[in-house]
Amino acid sequence: MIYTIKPISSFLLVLLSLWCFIAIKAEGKDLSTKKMVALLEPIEQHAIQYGEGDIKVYVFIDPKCPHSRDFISMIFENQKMRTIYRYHIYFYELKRFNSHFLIGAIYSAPSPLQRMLEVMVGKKEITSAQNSDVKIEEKIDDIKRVAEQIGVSKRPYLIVAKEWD
Amino acid sequence: MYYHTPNTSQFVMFIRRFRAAVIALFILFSIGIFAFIKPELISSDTFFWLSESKQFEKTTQQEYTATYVGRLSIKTAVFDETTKLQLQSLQTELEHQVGVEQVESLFATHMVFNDQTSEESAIVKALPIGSLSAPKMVTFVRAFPEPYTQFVNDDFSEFHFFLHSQNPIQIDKMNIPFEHRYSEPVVEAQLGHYLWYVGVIVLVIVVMSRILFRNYIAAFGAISVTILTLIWTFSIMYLLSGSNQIHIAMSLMVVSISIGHYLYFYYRWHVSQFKSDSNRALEKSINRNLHPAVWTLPVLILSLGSLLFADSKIVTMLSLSLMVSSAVAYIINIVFLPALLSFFSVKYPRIGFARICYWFANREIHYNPKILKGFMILTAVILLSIVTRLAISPDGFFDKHVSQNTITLKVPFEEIDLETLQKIETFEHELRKYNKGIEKVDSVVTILKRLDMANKPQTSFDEQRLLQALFFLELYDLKQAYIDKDALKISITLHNTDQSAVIRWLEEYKGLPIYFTDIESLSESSKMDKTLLLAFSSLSALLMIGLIMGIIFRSAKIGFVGFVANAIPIIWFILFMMVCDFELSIEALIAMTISVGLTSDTIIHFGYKYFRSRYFGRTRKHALEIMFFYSGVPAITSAVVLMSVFALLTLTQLQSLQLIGAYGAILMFISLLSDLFILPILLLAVDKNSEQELITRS
Repeated sequence: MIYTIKPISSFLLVLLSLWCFIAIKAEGKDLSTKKMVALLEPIEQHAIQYGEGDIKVYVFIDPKCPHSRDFISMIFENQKMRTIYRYHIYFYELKRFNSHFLIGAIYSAPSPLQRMLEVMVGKKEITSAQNSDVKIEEKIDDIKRVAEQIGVSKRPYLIVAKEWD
Repeated sequence: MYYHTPNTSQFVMFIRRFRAAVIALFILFSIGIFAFIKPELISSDTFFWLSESKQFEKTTQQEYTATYVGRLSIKTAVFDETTKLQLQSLQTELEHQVGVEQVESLFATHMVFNDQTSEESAIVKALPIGSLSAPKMVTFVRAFPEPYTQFVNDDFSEFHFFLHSQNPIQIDKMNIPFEHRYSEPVVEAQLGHYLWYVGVIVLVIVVMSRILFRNYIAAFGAISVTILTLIWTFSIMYLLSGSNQIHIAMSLMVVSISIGHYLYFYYRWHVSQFKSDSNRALEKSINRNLHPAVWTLPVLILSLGSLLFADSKIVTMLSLSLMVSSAVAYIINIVFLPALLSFFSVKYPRIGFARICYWFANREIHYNPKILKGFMILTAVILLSIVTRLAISPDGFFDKHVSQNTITLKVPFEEIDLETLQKIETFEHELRKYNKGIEKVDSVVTILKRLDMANKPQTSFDEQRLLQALFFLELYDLKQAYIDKDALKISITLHNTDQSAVIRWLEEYKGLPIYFTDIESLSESSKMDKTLLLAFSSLSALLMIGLIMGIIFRSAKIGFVGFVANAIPIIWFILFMMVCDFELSIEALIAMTISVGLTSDTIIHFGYKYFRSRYFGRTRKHALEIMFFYSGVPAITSAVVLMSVFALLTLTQLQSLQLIGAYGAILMFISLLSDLFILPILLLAVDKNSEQELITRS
């Protein structure tokens, strides 16, 4: 009896493990975008919003990074890309560019979007204060925390959310 | 029966008396019906085939437009900055041609790469490859050749531009500063094509008239009879089918039948003036050809009649052209032609070329039965191998080999998600697995993967990576080449393969809803539907011809000769096609149908003359001489005339006409050889009546 039950139970165990693995893998894949969006939603008020489209794109950039500048310039020049997508832009410093105070200066401007375009598209040099507002520092820290949780590794870093997200 | 000579003297007298009225009546009536029907020449071969394409119907129901795909190949001596700029200008010029929807080339492709200053600072870029300098372009394409192989060769000496357009493009009207070649499979017939076609026929007829008959009467008669036959045939077809559209292949069939019939009547009138006056010659022309010419009608009608019930308007129209033209040519040759010829008489009734007939008769009377037997066994073996191959792989028989071709498809979609991409990937995988010669499959998956891989992903492909790739696709404006409003575009490049097999596979593929969007594939798919039908109908026509000839001559043996003599050219022609690896295309089958029509006429005329002479007590040799003299010469003449016409048609730019021309000329040559060397021997072989018996009967 035991010789019959043992292989069957082992087989069932293998099947169960396999099912769990597939289920977890599927769940994980599904959660990936959703989870990132869930992490980003609480800091949406920190984002500079650009564009009127239905699809949200969360973008992490550094104002001094040449490729981030390229990216913003392309969005700026491409009206269609602003009607399809709505960009939530977060400044997340790359240490080697030492752009912390420039980020603070952009956030503290009356229109951060306008200032960002002046700096990144118009290549305007602005003088940045050596110490920022506490609220802006908190904002920068919040963004940094979420970026680390997501694993933002480069700039620009894109997360495209589906329309229903 | 063949030994009766109808009394036509009253009839001929009547025609001669009212000849002006008869001619006027024919001409006025023809002008009237021509004006009433207003026949419409089908300017494009494509429309002819597309009108019945099930795939085309499916595509238009989905509201997708079908486009012509042409390939412009440019040769350059050297690829430098100047050449690059010239080729870029050419790209722009091609894009601005009327009706052009898309031009694929190296200068329309993008270089997809990861532009990075460090691991942390990078972005996916897609730059037009033409923005690079010429040396950098060469370096880049050589480093990453895969996406560009179909547009440029290894040493940058040959560039290919693929034009997708709503109408055929007139490349010859453009000023291209390079050595170039444009291969567009389907082009619309221009007025020049028709003029060339008519010019060739008129020229060959006039040359034949001068060389053989040393006059212009034969040419004048042939052209008049042919014009009237064309008008009457298409008028009757309009009354029967309600369609006034004429395809160039239909007119070719009518011209062939008309000239074939005419030559028997004219030749008899011409040579009879050697001993008789022109009036008596006219009577001989009628009473000697009345029976055999009328017998060709039931042979054609019964043998090709089954095609009238085929579920295809095209096949019906083609077979109707042969049948109606045969009946019309008969009436015109016995009523209009005598009226016309009665105004003339010939100065030189002697036909020097006819002496060759005596040579044939002398040689063939002493035929070696063993050689005949050997030849028949060989032909039977060939037939058996054809039938076996047809039974084992009927599709393989009708292969359409292409060296380079593009099939374009559309696949409707609601959302580009992982499932859609998976389906397209599976499709591509299976397409490559089950078909040979798939050089490239270009779809949205191809570009999305390139964009995704340029992003140097560290995770497995998931929804986020797909969304990002779609974002870059939009950002760099690459979407238009791969995605329509509600359909994904797929382009398949074939290299040295059987296009029809790929089309068949695609038609039967169930994994994706596929719609063909290139005119050539749609037209090819329609032709494929008709090919098998026409092939089996031609085969059954051969059997019917044998049966009817057996009935006419009241002899099973002659029925067998009728079948064999018609089948031999077809069997050897198919062998020629197999040896040369040519596909048995619809054009080859049209040529075969024309050949069956003409060969059956020849067999009847030969049989009639031979057995009639034998009945009246002529020896076998004398009967053979009479047969060659009165039927052989017109048969050889019409075969040479039509061979010349068909051969010259290969010089036109209409591909289907080129093919019909080439196949028709070869087939007529084989038929002529069979008529001259095999048919008389077969008649001798089945004629076992002793000389004495015939003399007694006469």
